[in-house]
Amino acid sequence: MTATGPVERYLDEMFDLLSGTGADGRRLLIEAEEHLAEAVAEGRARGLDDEAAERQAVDRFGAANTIARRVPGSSGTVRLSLRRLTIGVWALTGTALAWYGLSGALTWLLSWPWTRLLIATDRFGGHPMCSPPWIPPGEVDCVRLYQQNDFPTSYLPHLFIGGIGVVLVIALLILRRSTALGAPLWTPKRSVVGLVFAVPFGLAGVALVLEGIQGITLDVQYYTLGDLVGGLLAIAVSAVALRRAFRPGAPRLAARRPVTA
Amino acid sequence: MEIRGHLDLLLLSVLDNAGPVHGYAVITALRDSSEGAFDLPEGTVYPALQRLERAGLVASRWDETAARRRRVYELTDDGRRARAAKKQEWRGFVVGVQAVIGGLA
Repeated sequence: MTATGPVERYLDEMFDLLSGTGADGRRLLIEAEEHLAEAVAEGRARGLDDEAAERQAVDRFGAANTIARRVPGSSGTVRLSLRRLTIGVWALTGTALAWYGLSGALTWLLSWPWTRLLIATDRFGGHPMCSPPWIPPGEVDCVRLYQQNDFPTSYLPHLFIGGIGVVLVIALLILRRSTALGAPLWTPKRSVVGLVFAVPFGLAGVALVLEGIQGITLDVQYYTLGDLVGGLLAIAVSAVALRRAFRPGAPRLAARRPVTA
Repeated sequence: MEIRGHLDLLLLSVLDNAGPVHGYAVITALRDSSEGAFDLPEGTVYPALQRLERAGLVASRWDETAARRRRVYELTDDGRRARAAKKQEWRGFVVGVQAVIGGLA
């Protein structure tokens, strides 16, 4: 049998599903391996190539979850899915919060020259920059906002939220390196995680960038910078997620899909 | 053909006819003697054999003499009695169904 062929992938999947089943699960795994080896040898004897013989053996053996759930104490697909979902939601939440915080902080930093310009002119309330399109519509007291260090937008909430996100991501990385949370049992499929990150971040990024561009064309400046910064960061996150999901060697959806009987 | 609910009888019968055999041979015998009529995922036979073993109807041991390590299964006395009872039950069921649907034709 090939090291990364259908049989090995199938046995890996079954091993995950049989977690917690003790002697019964261990015995089934050994028997499955022996059975598949024999079936592959039989397929080869009938003239099939290695890949075809392994695929046919796995197909005839049946879907791993169909068989594993017949073993008493099997964690089964539900518990396994919940574990992987927990890690996925944790990672997604941390990344989303970090993205939000970083976007806000970067926007604030990039708008800093404009704020300095406003201060340098020392004409609060009467300066053209203290009115639309530079600031949101409605009554705004530029002097008060400046004194509260809250101009043009508050950056502290962004830093706070972003900090929580970074802490979540770092905590997850540390726990996955030092505890059972790093085991395959708790590890979502790379391709699935990649898509779950790439799709919402990608869509949000494109929407924000388009809105930012629209802001430029409409000469509405107060949200343009924030939209462009947040949008470009989201697109970057999406691109990284896609790259990690589909880089050569990463397990793909099709390759890891359970084989149905 | 759906064999859910009848797998125990089929496995007990194969073991009764074939004697001590490993799982792969059980599946092959099941497929060959039914002439391919039973379309079951082969892997489901192993948990079923384990279940029968827990019920005391089948005994098993590792056979280390072959090139590959195999689990060999055989019927216990309780298994033979259970097989006979299930066979009787199945015959009664078939007779009843035939009476309702009107023979084999």
